[in-house]
Amino acid sequence: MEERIIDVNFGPQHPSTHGVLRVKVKLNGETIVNAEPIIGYLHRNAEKLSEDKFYPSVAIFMDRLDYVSNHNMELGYVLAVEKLAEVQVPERANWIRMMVVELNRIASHLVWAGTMGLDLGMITPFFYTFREREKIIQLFEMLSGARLTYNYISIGGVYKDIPGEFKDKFLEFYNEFPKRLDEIQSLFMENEIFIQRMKGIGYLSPEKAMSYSITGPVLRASGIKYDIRKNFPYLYYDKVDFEIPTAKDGDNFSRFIVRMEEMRQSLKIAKQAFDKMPEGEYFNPLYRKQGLIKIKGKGESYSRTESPRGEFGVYVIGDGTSKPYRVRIRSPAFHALSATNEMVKGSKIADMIATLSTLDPVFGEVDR
Amino acid sequence: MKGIIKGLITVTKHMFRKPVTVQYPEEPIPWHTKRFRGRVILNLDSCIGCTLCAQICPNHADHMVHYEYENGKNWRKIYPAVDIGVCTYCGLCQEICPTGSIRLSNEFELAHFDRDMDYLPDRLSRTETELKYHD
Amino acid sequence: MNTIIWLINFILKAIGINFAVYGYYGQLIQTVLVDLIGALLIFLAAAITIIIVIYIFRKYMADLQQRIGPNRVGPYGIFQLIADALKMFGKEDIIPDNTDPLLFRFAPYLVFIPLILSYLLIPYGSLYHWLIIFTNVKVTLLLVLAFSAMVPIGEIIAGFSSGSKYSLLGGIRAAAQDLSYEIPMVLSLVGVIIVSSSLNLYTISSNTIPFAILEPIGFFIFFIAMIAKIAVPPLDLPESESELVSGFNIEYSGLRFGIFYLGVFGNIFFASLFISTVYLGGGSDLPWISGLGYIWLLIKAFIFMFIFLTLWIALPRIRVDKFMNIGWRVLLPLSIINLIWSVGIAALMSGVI
Repeated sequence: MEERIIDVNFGPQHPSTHGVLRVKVKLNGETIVNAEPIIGYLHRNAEKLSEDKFYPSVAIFMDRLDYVSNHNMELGYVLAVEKLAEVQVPERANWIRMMVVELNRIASHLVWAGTMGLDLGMITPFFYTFREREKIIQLFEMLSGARLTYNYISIGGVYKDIPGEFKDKFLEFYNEFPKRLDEIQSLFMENEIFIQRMKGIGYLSPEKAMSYSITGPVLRASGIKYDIRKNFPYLYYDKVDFEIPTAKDGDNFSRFIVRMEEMRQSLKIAKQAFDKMPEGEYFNPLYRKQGLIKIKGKGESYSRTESPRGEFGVYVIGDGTSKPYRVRIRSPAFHALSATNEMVKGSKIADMIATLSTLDPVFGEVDR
Repeated sequence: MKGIIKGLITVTKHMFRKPVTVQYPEEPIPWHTKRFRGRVILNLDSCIGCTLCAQICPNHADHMVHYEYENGKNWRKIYPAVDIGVCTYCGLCQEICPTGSIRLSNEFELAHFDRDMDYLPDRLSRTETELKYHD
Repeated sequence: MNTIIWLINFILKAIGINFAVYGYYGQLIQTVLVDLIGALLIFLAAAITIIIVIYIFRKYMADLQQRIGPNRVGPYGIFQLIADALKMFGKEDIIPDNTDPLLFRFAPYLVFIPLILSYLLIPYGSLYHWLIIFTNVKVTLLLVLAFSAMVPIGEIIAGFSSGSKYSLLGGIRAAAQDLSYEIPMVLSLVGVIIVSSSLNLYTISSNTIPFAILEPIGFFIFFIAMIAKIAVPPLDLPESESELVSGFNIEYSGLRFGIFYLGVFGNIFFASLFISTVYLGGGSDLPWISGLGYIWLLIKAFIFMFIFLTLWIALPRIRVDKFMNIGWRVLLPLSIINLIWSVGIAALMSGVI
C-alpha cells in the first residue's frame, strides 16, 4: 500500500489549541510525523507600546499578557520597575501581593485543569473548576474592583487595602477548596481511561527540558527541582513554609500531578501570607497621586518571578524619564511550546492534543 | 474500572447540589462590590483642566476637549472626554486626579440606542441612569 | 397481533375512507395507505422521542454540572428544542466547493433513515390489551443489525465526501470504530440467538429468564458495543470534538447538521431500547401484572439512557488505537468465550446434557 503524508493545520481556530496556536502537522494516518507550532496570531505589540507609556500605565499591558494569571504578570513588571526606580515598598503590601499571586496561581491551574478535561473529551470538570475559580475571582473583585484585568499590584504597593468582609470569604474558600479539589481530582486521578491517555505520553527528558530552557511545572514534572520562589526568593517566599512538588516521569501524567499538588501548596502559602500580614501602610505614598508620573529610573533591571507557567522575566531599561526606554518580556509558555515537536513526534493526534494541554500555553503571553 | 466508577459517583453526587448559575438580568449579582470599577464619571464643578488624566491614560481613551462650562477654576475651559469603547477601566485617571473630580462609578450597563461611545464632558458628568432617563 | 395497523384501518374506515370494497386493487391501495400512515406516525413518534431525549439530556447534564440548562423558551425550557429545530430549518445549507455534492447531500439520510426504520422493529410490548408491535417478521433481529450497520457507512460517506482533512480523519475513525465493535456485538448476539433459537426480537424478549442473567459476559460486551455504536463519549471517535473539531460532520450546516444531531440522540435511545429488549426482557410482562409491558420497556430504556448519558458526562475519550486494541484483543476473545458458554446453556436447556 502506498503511504501518503497529509498536512493538517490544527488551528488557529481549533477547539483545543488554547487560543490561537496553529500547529502544522504532517500526518501518516493518525501518527504524527512532524509538528510545527506557529505562533503570532495574538501579537498585540505590548513590548513596543510600553515605550510610549508612563511606568504605571504599562502595568495594564501586563494584565493582558497572561489573562488567566494577571496578578503574576503585574508582579513581575512591578518588581522590575521597583528595582529600577529604587522604590520602597511597605511590608504589608508585599504580603498582600504574595497572597493574591498565590490565589491567582490556583485560579490559573484551575482553568488549566478544566480545559485539559475538555481536551480529553470530558466536559464536566470544566464546570467544577470554573465554579471554584469564580470564588477566587470574587475575592479579587473584592480587592481590586475588577474581575479579570485587575491592575491591583501597583508600583510602590497595592491599589487598595484588604476590605473588612474579605476575611470571612477568604477563610470560607480556604476551608472548602481542598474538598472541592479532591473531588475534581477524583474525576481524573484514578480514571483508567485518563491514565491510559496520559501515562507515558509526551515524554520530555530533564536534559531536553533544560536545553529548551523550559521552566515551571513542566520542568518540575521532568524531575528537576527548580522553582524561583525557592531558588531565588523574592517578596517573602523565604519566610513561608511550602514545598516544591516534583515528579520523575516527565510525561503528561506527572505534569498533571505536579500542577494539582501545586494548587494545594499555593493555598498553603496564601493562608500563611494572610496570617502573617502586619497592620500598616499598604502603599508608598510617594508613588501615589501625581507621584505616578514621577517614577523615574536610569539603567536597567530584570525581575524573575515564578508565574504559573514558569519563569516570567521582565527586563526594563530606563533612560531617566518617566517612561521606560525598553521593556522585554520573557514568557515561560513560549519556551515550553518550542519543545512541542520533540514531545509529540511519533505519537497520535489525540496525544498531541493532550500534550499541548499539559504544557498550558496562554497565547496572550506567548505572542505578547 | 474502579477509577471510572469513582468518577461516576463524584459526578452523580453533584445532582443534588444547587446550581451556581446566576440569572443575571432578573437576579442581581450577589457579589457586586462597592469597589467595582465601572464607567468613568466626571465632576464638572471641581475639574481644573490639568490634563493629567489624559496623560496617564494608557489607551488615550481619556482626552481633553474644549467645553463651555464656567466653574471658576478651569480658566482654559478644557475638560476630559472619555471614549468608553477604548476605556479599560484601569482606574489610573481616578488615582492621578488631584481634585478627585474624575472617578470610576459602579455602573457597568453601558448599552445605548446610539453608537456614540465618545462621552463628551456633559455626558460624562451624568450617571448612566440619568442618561437612560434622558433617552 | 398488529394492533396499530388494525387501529389505523379502523379509523380510516370510520371516517369513510375504504378502498377495500373496490376489489383486489382497492385492497392493495388500502394496505399501502394504511402502511404509509403508519410509517408517518412512527416517524413523528421517533422525532418526538428524540426531542424529548435531547431535552432530558440537556437538563440532566446541566444538573450534574450545577447549571440550570435550557429555561427560557416555555416553562422549564421545554420548547427550547422546537426553537432549535426552527433555527436549523432557517439556516443556510452550505455545500463547500470541493465536496462530492451528491454523496454529501445523501449521507445524512443514510444515517437517519435506518435509525427511524429500526425503531419500527422493536416490539414495544403490551399496553392495556393492545400489543404494540409494528413489524413482526421472523428476522427482526437481523433487520435491526442490518439497519444499524448502515449508520457508520453514512458517517464514512459523510467524512469522505466533505473534502476536509478533519472530516476525512473522522471518517477513517468511524470506519475503525465500526470494525472494532461490530464483530463482538454480532457474536454476542449470536449467543442470544443460539439460546433462544429465534431471530425474532419478540420471542427473544419474552424469554422467561432475561439474557442479562443467562449471559453476563455477552451482556457486558453488548453494552460496550452499544456505547461504541451510539458514538458518544467515551467512544465518540468519529466526532472527537477536541481533536477533529467535529469529525465527520464538520462541513455540514443547517438542516443536514440537524439530522446528524438528531441521529446521535436517536441512536442513544434506540440503543437503550435495543439492549433492554434483547437482554432485559424488553416489553414482556412481569408474571404477576399484565398489560404494562410498554411501561416496563420504557423504564428499562430510560435507565440505560441515563447510564449512557452519565458516561458521556463523566468520562474522557479513549484513543482510537486503544479502542481498536480493546475491540480485537479483549472483546472478541470474550465474545467467543460467551459463544461457547451460550452453546452450553442451550444444550442444558434443551436437555441434551
